Amino acid sequence: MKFTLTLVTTLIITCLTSGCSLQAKNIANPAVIAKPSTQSNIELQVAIASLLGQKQVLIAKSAFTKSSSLTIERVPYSSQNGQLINGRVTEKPMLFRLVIRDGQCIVQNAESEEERVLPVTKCHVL
Amino acid sequence: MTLSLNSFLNKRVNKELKKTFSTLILTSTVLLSACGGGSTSHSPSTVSGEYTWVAGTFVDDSTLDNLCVGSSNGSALTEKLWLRSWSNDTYLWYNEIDDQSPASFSISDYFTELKTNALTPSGKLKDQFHFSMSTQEWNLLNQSGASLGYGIHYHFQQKDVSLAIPRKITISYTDPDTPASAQSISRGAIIVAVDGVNVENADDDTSIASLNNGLFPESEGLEVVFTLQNFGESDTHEVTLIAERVVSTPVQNVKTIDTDNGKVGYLQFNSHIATAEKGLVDAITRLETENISDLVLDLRYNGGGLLALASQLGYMIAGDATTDKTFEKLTFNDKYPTKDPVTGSTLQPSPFHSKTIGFNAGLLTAGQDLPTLNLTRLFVLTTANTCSASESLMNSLRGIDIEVIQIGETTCGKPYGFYPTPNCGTTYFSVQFKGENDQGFGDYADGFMPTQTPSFKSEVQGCIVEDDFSKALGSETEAMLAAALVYRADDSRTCPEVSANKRAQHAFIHNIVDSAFIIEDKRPQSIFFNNRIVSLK
Repeated sequence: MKFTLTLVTTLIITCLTSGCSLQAKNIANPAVIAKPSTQSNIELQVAIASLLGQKQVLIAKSAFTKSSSLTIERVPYSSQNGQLINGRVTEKPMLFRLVIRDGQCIVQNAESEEERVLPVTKCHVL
Repeated sequence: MTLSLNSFLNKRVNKELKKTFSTLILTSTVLLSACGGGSTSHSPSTVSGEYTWVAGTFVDDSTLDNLCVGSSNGSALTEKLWLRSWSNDTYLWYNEIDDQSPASFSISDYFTELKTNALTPSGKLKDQFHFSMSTQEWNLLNQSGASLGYGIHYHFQQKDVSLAIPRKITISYTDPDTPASAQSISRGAIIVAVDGVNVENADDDTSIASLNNGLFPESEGLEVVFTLQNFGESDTHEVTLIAERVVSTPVQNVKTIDTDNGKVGYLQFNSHIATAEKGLVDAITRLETENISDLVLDLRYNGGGLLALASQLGYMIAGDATTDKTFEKLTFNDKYPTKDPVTGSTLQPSPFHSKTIGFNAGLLTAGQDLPTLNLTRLFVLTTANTCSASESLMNSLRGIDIEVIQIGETTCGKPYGFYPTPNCGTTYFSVQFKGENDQGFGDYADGFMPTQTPSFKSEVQGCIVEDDFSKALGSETEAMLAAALVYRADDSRTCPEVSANKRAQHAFIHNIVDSAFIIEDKRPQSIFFNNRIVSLK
């Protein structure tokens, strides 16, 4: 009886201190950038470029300030007469998400779920 | 049909593996052949393991994949032969290619030869869409609608001395929340000079470079002085703009116009980019609530983009009429009557999408019912910049007997598409398919032409009206919108007078190709929408 009580108590304590709190820590909530700055935008561009395997990517300063998601598409190239080279696009654009997990602001590729932590960026739950 | 960019990037990896295997197989074949064994399936064009050109004989392009100049097993010849075999396999008009020896051509020149030279009924080249560019450049991705600039969309009138046409740059429209809108730069203003360099008279490399630098800024924070002349005014004024990262607004100017015979909705749809899905849903929801009886869809600057958006908009306009109907069916060359040569999938007609796709799930989740206006006719405003997916929307609606009334200028004429295909660091764009509507029509290579007396399927009931830079887009007095309103008033079907000269110019508009002296914007392409000033010296 004493052993059972000890076991239950231990399980509850374990749950409270590790398992349950670990579960809580792993929840990623959709977020937006709280205070966009030049530094946070540079950090975001570097992170997304890294996730795309590109040297650079153009991301507006307003990105993730009103929405927790962002679409990425090919640069729309035009021919000499001004027409889009590819005006019939069948590729689905890529989607990136901004989330908060464990107090950290994180940008994720929604399909591959690869992610990068954004240490400088301040964000809050949407 | 839709392939995600993520999948595409994975496919690139798979393609690399495939190429590695192809190389290994080729090497093995050559080695085994040398030993007197193995397959000689590539033998028609190979001599002792080396590829040669044999007229009328084509090896499978996959065996030539990425056998590049500078590699141990590749050469300029193998790159050219890959282009030849790939074109012979998938080019829509492969049987109109003159099978020339590649010997005397560079790789890029040889690619230029691998197309049809046939003409459309109006006399323009049937294939004006044959391109190649660096794969590294083509693969660059940016935030949807983002570019570096001022939020200005330019209309270029190219200089042509032989036709006494001066160079002229006009503001066609600006995007909200941009440096241009903050300075109240208005549609129709002429850019007289950029940083003191006169636009009309610039005729040397330095001046042209200066114009390009100002119009298409390379760096954020660049300050440029624009000398502007507002429409109809003789005075000029200077505006200093600072380049920044701007985001375009693809759906603008949504409004309802009260008329004696019902409400007319108007919306300006500039680009089929991902963020347009939410904009279109919001616009149609609003117009549905306002119970409009007609819609004027302004596509004059819409060069296309995501086909799925055109399909959705088709449903949002026509609603019930789209049920069980084909939005578009792709047809490839006669080697592939039933399957897509690139994806390998069986050819299936694409329906009109009646649900949200959720391109940006944070703005709009997937799988929701789209709003619809359930209209039986549609007014579209067009110019030569109305292209590809925009034309596909017009064609698909006509295919299900929605009355499309076209006000404006002839569209660009691009019922064609391709799968951009990389090889040896270059991505090639060679027409591979044509889109057809529910009635099997897709022959509008000369563009859709507005006329009051249509005789051919590519001629559309409507009026020829030139783009009117004197008025704001969405203004009821702007010439195209005004013509649409007059046309529908009491169903008068009357059009503004057009001079014979203008009518002739209109018919000829696509044939003016200025290529004698091209001044290109050569800055890194990842940070701006590329445009060019083209001029004759």
